[in-house]
Amino acid sequence: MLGNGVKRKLDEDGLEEGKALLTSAAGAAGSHSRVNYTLQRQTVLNISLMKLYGPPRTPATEPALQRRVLINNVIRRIHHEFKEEGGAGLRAHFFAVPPPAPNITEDEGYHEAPTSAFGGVLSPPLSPLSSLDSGLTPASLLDDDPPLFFALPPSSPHPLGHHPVSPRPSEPPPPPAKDSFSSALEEIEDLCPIAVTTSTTSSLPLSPPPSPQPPLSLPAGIDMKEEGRTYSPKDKESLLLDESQAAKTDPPSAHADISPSSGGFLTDFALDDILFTDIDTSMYDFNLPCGASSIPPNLGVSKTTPMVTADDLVKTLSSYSGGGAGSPPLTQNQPFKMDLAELDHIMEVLVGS
Amino acid sequence: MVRIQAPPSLLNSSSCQICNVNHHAIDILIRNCHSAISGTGGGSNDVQWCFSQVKGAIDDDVAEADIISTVEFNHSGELLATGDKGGRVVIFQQEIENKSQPQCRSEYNVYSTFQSHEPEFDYLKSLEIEEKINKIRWLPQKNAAQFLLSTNDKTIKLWKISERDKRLEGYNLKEEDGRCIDPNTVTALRVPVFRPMDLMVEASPRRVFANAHTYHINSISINSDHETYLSADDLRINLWHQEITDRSFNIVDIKPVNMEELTEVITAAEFHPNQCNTFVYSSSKGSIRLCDMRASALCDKHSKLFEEPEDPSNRSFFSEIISSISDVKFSHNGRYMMTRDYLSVKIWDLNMETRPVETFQVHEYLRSKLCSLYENDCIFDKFECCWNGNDSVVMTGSYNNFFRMFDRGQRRDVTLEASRESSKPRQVLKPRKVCAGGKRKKDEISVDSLDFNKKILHTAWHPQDNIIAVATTNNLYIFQDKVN
Repeated sequence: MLGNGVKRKLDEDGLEEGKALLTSAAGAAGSHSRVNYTLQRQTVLNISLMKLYGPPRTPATEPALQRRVLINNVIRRIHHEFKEEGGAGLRAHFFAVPPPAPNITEDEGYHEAPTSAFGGVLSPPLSPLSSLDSGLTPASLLDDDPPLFFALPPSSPHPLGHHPVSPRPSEPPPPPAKDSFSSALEEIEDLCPIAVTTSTTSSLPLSPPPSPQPPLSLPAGIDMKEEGRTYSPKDKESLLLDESQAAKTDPPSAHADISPSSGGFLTDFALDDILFTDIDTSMYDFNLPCGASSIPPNLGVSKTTPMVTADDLVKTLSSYSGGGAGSPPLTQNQPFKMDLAELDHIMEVLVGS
Repeated sequence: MVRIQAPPSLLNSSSCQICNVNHHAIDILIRNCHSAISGTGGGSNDVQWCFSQVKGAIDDDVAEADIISTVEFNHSGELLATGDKGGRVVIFQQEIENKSQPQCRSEYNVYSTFQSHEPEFDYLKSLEIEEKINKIRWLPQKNAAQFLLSTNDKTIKLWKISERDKRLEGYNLKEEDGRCIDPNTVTALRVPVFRPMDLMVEASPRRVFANAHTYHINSISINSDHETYLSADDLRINLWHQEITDRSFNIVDIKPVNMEELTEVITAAEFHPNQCNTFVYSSSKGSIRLCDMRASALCDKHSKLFEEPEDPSNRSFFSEIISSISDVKFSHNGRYMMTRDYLSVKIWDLNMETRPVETFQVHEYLRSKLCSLYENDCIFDKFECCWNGNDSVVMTGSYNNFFRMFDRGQRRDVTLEASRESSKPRQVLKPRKVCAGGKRKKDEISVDSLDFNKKILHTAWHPQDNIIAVATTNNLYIFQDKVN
């Protein structure tokens, strides 16, 4: 379907259903379709952001103006909808994100949908992040504490319990996951005491997002915290501008003009931190499908990162998650390793070592 | 082209009796429609399309430079030009084997190949300028030589393609091998004579029109005045004189003062085939503007705005993107224009701005897949479209190497495939069908099995006959109607 030999039937089913819900009844179907609409809108927004700010497909030549303008318009429109719905409505929507669908395959469909997008969204900021002056970024990152929630995967209700629409009575959050997450954090602290103190200070208030797939969500959750801070809006703007300067792909013409305009967007978005913490990683399947082949597999992962730390973490985490979904820990270790390598990398930058 | 004495009814009224397509009442030269020439230009159901030839490598591994980026017949149909991503132009010439037998099959063979554009580097922006040929347009033939305009993202070039089949022999001051003869040794003079030689086709760049476009050129169109032409990029349209390369006039400029406010770009532009003062340009928001150059020097204010209101039941996040027009083409008679957006082809009557007179769905089954197509960028594919010689049938490409033809009069459409499997000589193409949902019948293809890497973006129709050129990624297929 995506032209790379990967059939993503579930994805299409999930999106099609969301789409069908969208096109039929135009939202009159109640909270279910509303939630689906919100989720799809989120997906589209994230894909759009990744298209604009992700690694360029043809780095040597100028990106097509028409494409950028069209993607920009999509983002503008979604932004406009956010504004119309208002701040309070926003929070309600993000809390209410999880659909009441009990079917796991459907959730996987949703999971898969943004995966390739998010997988890419994750990685690019890491490289510019690492290239930035460590003195510059970490301080601003640390100061900017995102509010106490993320757009959670559809399967996981928010731990703070703010959601008016209680989504999944059939899948209560597994308590061991919560504990295992905090333990995992402590584990990290042990491993990297200096770096993590600052990072976990802001993460601890955030309860872990339990999910029916704890092995996936735990390291993703950790990453999410990192990403949450990475994506704090002011930094995104500086990050993007720095990235564009560093990459020297910012010609003084329309191209440059678009970036400040997107900076303008992001300034607006900065008013609502929520919008960026939406770039939610916890539902990612880190076995990136071919559809995301535009993202180099090693992006963001430093090859020189010592894997010892990551391995320790992996072992610890998998021991905690052993009682969870029961997926073979070996196959889960691969994404863990990549995640944790990234995590390691971030910590190194934060510590400045 | 056959001249026919028009029946009196057609001279006075303006609609064809069979298909109701309007003509100019004074149009005696009836190129259109079913009342006219037998055999040629019939509807898609009258015509059975057969494979004729395929050009290009059989390799499945496509070299990027070989990707075909434009296809264009010249005004007589004798020459067929293709441009590719590597900046090369290949021209095929129709060999008419036996002129006495009108039904004989004619083949297109390579006539000339030349490198039109080279990759360049923009030092100011540190970016490469692709050598990919975006468009080729033939000039009307004035003398023995052929002229065409080819353009990449930034530079337009006028090429002269001329034949040389004679050479001079018997120079007085030059030996046959080129050595000079000392004038002092010459005792008698002779007149050089022409001797036949093997045909040599030479392509030489006669004009280079550069440095006029900040953004990427998407269209060129030659004016019917045979003197000027326009070139359009994302935000501006320039008018050139064919002889003058150091100046062009800007006739449309939609660049906003603040680039942050940019929401719409120009996607295609074309001159009217008969009225040298009229041109149209399409936008990424699905609107077409018709401009009259007599009205003002800068045609920012349109004379007509063609726009169809959005269907609210089809509204989605991608509504705007799929409404972006990828191609606009006037009909040969100048009464209509056709636009191609992502999912449909629309025919507009130039006298009616509110909505198109005909809309054909190319691949409506993709509407539910728009999010995936957005994700993999297929939604930005720019499909072209073309008219047949008498404006009764239109053609456009789709995915999976499918292309579609819509017969306006008979209101029928057909889906055909350009594939190596159906490439036996004179093999009749079998109509294809895509199964959108539900039970898949035999021979149907389900939407999920479509190969979105195999897209037919460029097609061309011979100006008179039923010969079509269809470009897959790196192959050019030529199909003709079945000869009985």
